[in-house]
Amino acid sequence: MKKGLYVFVMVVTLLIGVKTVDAVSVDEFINHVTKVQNINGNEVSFVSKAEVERYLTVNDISEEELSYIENKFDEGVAILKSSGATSLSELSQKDKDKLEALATEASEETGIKFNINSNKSVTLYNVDGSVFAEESIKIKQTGSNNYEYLYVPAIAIVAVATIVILRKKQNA
Amino acid sequence: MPSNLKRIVKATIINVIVALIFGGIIVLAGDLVAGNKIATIVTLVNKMAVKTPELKQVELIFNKEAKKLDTYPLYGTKYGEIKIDSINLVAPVYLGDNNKILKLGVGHYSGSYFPGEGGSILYAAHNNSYFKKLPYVVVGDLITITTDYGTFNYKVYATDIIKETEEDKLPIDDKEEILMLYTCYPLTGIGHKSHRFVVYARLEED
Repeated sequence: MKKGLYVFVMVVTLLIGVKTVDAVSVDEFINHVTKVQNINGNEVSFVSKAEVERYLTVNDISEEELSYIENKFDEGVAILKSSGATSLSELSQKDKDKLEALATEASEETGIKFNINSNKSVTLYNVDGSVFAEESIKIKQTGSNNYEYLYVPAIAIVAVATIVILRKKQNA
Repeated sequence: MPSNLKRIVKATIINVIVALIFGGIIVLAGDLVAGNKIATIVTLVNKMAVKTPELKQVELIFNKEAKKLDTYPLYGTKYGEIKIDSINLVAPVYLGDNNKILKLGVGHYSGSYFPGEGGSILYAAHNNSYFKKLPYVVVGDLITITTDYGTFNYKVYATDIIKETEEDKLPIDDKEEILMLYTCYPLTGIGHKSHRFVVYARLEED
């Protein structure tokens, strides 16, 4: 299963939640949300430890808030497990909506923003509103996609030249 | 259809086909003759076209005892430079690897660690610009990452060609500081690439 973007979004948007629950240490929280989960027969790690550690370094979060997030994270994992899906693409629209609603509700409550972009990436923001990361697939396309800038003008120039030449011949 | 209109339609279709053929020949010829220079020009055009937002540069503070950064660069900002002498590469390194960033330099996958933190680091760049010579890197070559908080040297111990779906071949963990560089493979041709050329390098402790 690809990285659970909705779940991670849900986690980070709850980072300044105001509800007081039993505190959990930073290490306990990181170990909990980064451990490999078995989701319907697939071994999945939802979030990168490096990224969670970085987020918690950049954003000041209390242990009570971490515990609250951990509970919400577990709710999200439960939705995924009960869905029976083995990949995000197999999730029903209803389950996707449930996860997104969970994240949106928390975002509205805490003021932490996230944005699902048109290219299916998710932009996560720090507490101060700056971009924390743009989450998408791990292995990017880094191929020769810049040649479009050459093809278009080359074709345009040749097309215009050909038309001009043929018209001159017709008029000759 | 009136005969004039038929002639115009026919002439237009012929013009488009001829233009496409000539356009393709021009690009292929340019690629053969100028090759890398075209990629450089295109990269420069891309750089001029990309409006880099004004992003604050954060002062990076490295906690040597904890082997962790106390402050991190903002996503999309340059925080270092990569140098590989064996392929004459010197390139800026940015945090993040979205399309905008990859047009500016080498992108650091935000789910990986930073140089000096003791974990896996994953960098990507385009195969027709900064990493166009990456497949010429061999075992034993040295890679240097220079940042405001320190300079880190890595020695290449392996290279590989992997499928784009083989994420497990680019493992991110905190067991050992491994620098992984990748680019689309093969280098030639355009369009979607299903493979990546990967360089694996280990931190050289002082």
